Amino acid sequence: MLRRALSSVLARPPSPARSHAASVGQSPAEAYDIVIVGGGVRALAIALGCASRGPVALFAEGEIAAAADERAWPVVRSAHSDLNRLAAEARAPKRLKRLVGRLPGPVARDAAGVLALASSQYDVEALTAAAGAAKAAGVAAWMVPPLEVSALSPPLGAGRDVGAALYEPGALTVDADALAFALADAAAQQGAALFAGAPVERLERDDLGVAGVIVGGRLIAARRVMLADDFAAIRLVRENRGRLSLKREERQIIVAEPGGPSLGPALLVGDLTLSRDIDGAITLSGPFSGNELARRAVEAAPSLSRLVMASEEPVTVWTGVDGRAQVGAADIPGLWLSLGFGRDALSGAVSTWRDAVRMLADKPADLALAPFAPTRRPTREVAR
Amino acid sequence: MSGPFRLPPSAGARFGTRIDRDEPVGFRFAGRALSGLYGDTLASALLASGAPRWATSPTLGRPRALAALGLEDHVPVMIEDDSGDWAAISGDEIVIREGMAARPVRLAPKTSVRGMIRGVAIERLRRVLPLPRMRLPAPRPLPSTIEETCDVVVIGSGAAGVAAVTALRRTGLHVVIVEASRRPCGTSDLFDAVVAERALGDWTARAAAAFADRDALRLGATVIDIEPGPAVVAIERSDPRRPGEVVVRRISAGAVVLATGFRERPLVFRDNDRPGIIGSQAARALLRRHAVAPGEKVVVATLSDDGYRTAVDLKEAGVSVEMTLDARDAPQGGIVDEAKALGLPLAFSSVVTGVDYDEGAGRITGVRAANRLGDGAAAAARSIEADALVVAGGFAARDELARRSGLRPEHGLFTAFAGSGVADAIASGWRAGLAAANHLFAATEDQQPVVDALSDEADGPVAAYLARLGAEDADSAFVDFGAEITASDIGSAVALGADGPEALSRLLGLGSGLDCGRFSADLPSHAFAAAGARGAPAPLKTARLTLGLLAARATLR
Repeated sequence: MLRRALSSVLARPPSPARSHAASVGQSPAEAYDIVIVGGGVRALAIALGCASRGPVALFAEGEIAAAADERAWPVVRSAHSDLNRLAAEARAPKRLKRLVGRLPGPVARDAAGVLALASSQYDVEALTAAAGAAKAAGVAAWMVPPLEVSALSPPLGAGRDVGAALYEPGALTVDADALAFALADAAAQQGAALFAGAPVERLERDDLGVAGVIVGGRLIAARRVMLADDFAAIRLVRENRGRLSLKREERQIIVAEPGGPSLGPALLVGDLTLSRDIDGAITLSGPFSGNELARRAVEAAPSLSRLVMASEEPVTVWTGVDGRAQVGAADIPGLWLSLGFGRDALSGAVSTWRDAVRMLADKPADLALAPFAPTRRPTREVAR
Repeated sequence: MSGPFRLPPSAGARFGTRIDRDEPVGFRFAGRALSGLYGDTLASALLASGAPRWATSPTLGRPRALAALGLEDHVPVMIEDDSGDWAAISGDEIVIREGMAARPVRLAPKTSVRGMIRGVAIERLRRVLPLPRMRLPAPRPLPSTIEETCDVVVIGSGAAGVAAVTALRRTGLHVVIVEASRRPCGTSDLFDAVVAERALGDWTARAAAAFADRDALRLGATVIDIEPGPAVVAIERSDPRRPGEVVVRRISAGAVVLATGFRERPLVFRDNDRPGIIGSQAARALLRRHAVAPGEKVVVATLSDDGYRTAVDLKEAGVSVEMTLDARDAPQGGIVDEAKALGLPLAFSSVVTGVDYDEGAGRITGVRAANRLGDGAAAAARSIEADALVVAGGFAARDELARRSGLRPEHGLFTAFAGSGVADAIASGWRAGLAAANHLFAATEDQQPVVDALSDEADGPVAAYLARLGAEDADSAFVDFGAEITASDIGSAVALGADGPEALSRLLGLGSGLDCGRFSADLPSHAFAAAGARGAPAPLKTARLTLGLLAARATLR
């Protein structure tokens, strides 16, 4: 029986099964208006947005499914402690709901909320400042005292003395894979050509800028190329001596089998993230080895020690040097970027994809995340 | 006698080598008082007493019973009053003792619609109402850890493992054998071969006994990982009476020999999980070790020569073998001639298309078979009356430890996977042992023992069964029995858009059963290919690990 399909059925009635696999086995055309590189939610959302405006092709290096960083923390939230990011993503949960409403396939989501725990006095101050900024931006998020934290999240309360936390009840936990499949389905229906297992070898350049991409030794001409996959972007841009200012972080994901105990809201405990989907599958991630990650999770919430691990996977998370994503034109003409969303990959993806689509159509868009704005400076600490 | 399926003593001393017919043992299973014989495992005693149905599958509620040997089985049971992360264990691993009580493992359904609606509704209510605190599972203390050092670790104590330790015997290296089962020697007692002028089972048993005397045989220790170094990390069931209590053992070594052998695949056809359908090696083990027959009238379906070995054994034990169905067109192996000489009815190019199952009695009543190649009347299904079906779907290497660790000989990991036959196992085990000695600059001049064994012909293609599945058959043709994934589930997941192997495995929950997919061997990868996925799934998980066990492992360094 399909594990995730069942919860999706519960969330919304299923539509007749379609498959985006329409373009499987076909070879790409000679030229497209827009070529998108990447196979995760952020690339698929942009492909869907552009599909109605002209011929669009998407080339995924691996599978067309949620990227590892999108699955590591499948939570869409707004209350970041970074003010620019907060401004850009203040409406992320609403945008996700609207996006899912447009999709043909079912996507399970759960308004579980999120608790960002403070582990030090410094954290409490930063989170309190974030709560204030969130209120100013119209996001429902506030600080909750330790007693309420343990009431909201019983596994934590049973474990140890907890500190105060920033609580955002409107944050959504989504099934990232189902979201990717539904997006792919919708994009294929709108006429986008999707190619899985088709790594872009390099960018083709002419005097003016980017002229296309080379896939499988063949030139696919394109007026605009959007890089929406961090790893591919780093490789392709560096080969063209372009600039990218990203910081990398190695994390590990552990996904437990469904039917785990209730967590209450999704949790951010220091570097550790914990979320639980509608089936009860708990996902942990953190910048440690798998065993160390498990040790820290059990330390924070001892009742999780009986969770059975379903899979373990490493993930590299890229963040802009100042802790913000880079969405906008690269310094090579014809090349566009949408990357560096950091640990909150999904929140970034659902709140910026429409801006990315507008930019690709030469329309005015939010420039807060423009990659090479002179206001951007490296910061010492990555904001959570 | 302790039940309808126990062979009479007249069957011969060859059958029932591990039991003492004069020594009855009483035990309870799921509240019923039953009896077995001294030396019986819980599995053999249950089958002998004619209890074909043991458990109900968690998601689909289908009846299940023993189908494979040892830790490969997908229907675990647990000893009453045992608890812990590893309490669920195969009935073939528990030796019965007077007054023991056991029961099937009751799993909360993972994906029932009703359970999920209830869970989600309570979650939602909890967010707005001050409901009483939810009950949390009681935290358990982390298991303790043991560190150990030696020169060579040999994983597996079957024919290949014993060949490896024999090769290392005169090198002066300190060798430790790690065996997942409580019973050493793997399946070497199920093959009629002569090694160094001894019966194969005898040869391996002597070597294992010598290691046990030197305290260098770790039984009940499932290796979960091979770390670079190399070091072997195993979860050890230290107390056979309470299998749920485990310790984490790490053995650092100069070299590791992986001699885990091969596992037998089940076959894919409609209702292939019914009680009474049993793997060929499991059926032969029950016959030889415990003198228990799978049924009175047995049909054997095979893709390999192993099915014939079981058919010959069944015939010699006095069980009626109604038909041996071989999907291959013209098998020529020596064992086939032996089966012909015994007068066993054989049908080539024939496959099982389904079974008739009597819900009330909990047994199969017939096997439907068809010709694989002909069409029209020649390919029409025929029904054979039988109460047990023995299946042999060919062999797949138990190599997930090597594939997951990514280590190679230059890192000190040597594997013995040349072939599933006895001669191949001993030759590759011997080579791996010598290579490990070389790696540690130790030398030996011993010669490999002489092996006299029938060699097997090549296995038939799994596609002979998979390609035949109709849409209706696929709904109950399991390809991952433990996780209850059928061939049609894979088809519908691909239709949802998950055509990459990783996303497909995630969507299906592949390997999420209590057996981690071990029972189904590499069937999912064949099924993925048949359904048009873009690649094969990742190697099997090595064990069902809890966060608590991982956390205990984190304290090792």
